[in-house]
Amino acid sequence: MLKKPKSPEHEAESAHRIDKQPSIDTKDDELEDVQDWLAERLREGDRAAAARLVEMYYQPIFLYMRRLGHDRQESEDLTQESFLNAWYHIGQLKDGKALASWLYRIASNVSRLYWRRHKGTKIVSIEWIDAPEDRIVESGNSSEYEQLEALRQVVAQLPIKLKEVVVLHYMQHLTIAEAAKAVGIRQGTFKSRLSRALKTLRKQLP
Amino acid sequence: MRDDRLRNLLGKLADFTTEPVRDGLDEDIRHQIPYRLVRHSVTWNTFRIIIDLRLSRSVAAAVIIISISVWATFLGAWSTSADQVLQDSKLLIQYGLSGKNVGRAEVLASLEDFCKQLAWRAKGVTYYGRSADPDDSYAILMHWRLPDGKYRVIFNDLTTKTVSPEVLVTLQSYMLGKHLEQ
Repeated sequence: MLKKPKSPEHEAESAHRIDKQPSIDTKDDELEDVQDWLAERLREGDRAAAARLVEMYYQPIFLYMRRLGHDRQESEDLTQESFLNAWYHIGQLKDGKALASWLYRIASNVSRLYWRRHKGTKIVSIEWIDAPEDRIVESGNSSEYEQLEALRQVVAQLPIKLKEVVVLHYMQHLTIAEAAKAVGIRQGTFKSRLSRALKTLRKQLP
Repeated sequence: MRDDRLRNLLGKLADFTTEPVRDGLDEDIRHQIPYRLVRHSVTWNTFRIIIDLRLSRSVAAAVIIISISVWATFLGAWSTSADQVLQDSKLLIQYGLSGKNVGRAEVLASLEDFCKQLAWRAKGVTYYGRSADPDDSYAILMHWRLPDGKYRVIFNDLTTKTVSPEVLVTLQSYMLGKHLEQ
């Protein structure tokens, strides 16, 4: 389950990795450019752009499905279904800024439809796999792992509407505006759901 | 627990719940990109949504006719947008006459293209397309064999699933049974 802290050599290695990462601003600008280009090319029906979209988003969408409580096989199927739906809804894509929310919205709908069709299906909590151990070393606090484990279980038990907002904002790292669009609700409603979700989590955590 | 602490933990949870994706999943998705990536008009999408909602044909027709009248009222005069309305009205008439087959023909055309492309990259590519019963969501539109021996299946309602050869045979038998019944 939980991984043990690594040696100081690993710590140094991870610090080196962090130094090499581009600054957040540069990364964001580049991402926006790519998204604008992609959205434009997709609207023109460019298959190469579609392939690029897959490359950029297949992993996040797969993880989104996993974090919503689908098992591995279902998540793979639903990820493929999301992209298949995306190809038939290219016309709904407005601009590069809306790219992530457009795709996540399709994925959310695919997931909801799945739950509706398979009522009573067991919700699976995502497993600890490939935990970034350098972070464990940084914190050096064993009770934190216990808290994370408890949090993981409580998040898995949240009602789907609340789980969606928590996963999109905190785990898929979408902004409030993007995540609200992805769920198809107003920003105010999104914030209120998010606050309700946090309240529930706070209550259930030790 | 304090709010900021909880937010901090949620951020960390994202890192701890990252798991590797199966090799080849991206390739599978890329294979499903239709040969013609068509941008549908907003109004045609509205039709598709109404069709997806599975409203009865008469209710769908009524909703679309009302939408067209509202459009016409707003436009006041004949314009380029009104041309689009005309085109969509034609689709409406087609839909009224032939039901789901309008949207279906479009999907099948894309799948046929996809199938041709896939034929030289994958083994066991089989396309059922138009012979599949349009009213049966479990009917298979096409399938192909994956490197691990399983089969990837696209169903009539466009859902996809990876199944074992045994399950595929069961699905085919079911389809054949339905076909014989008809």
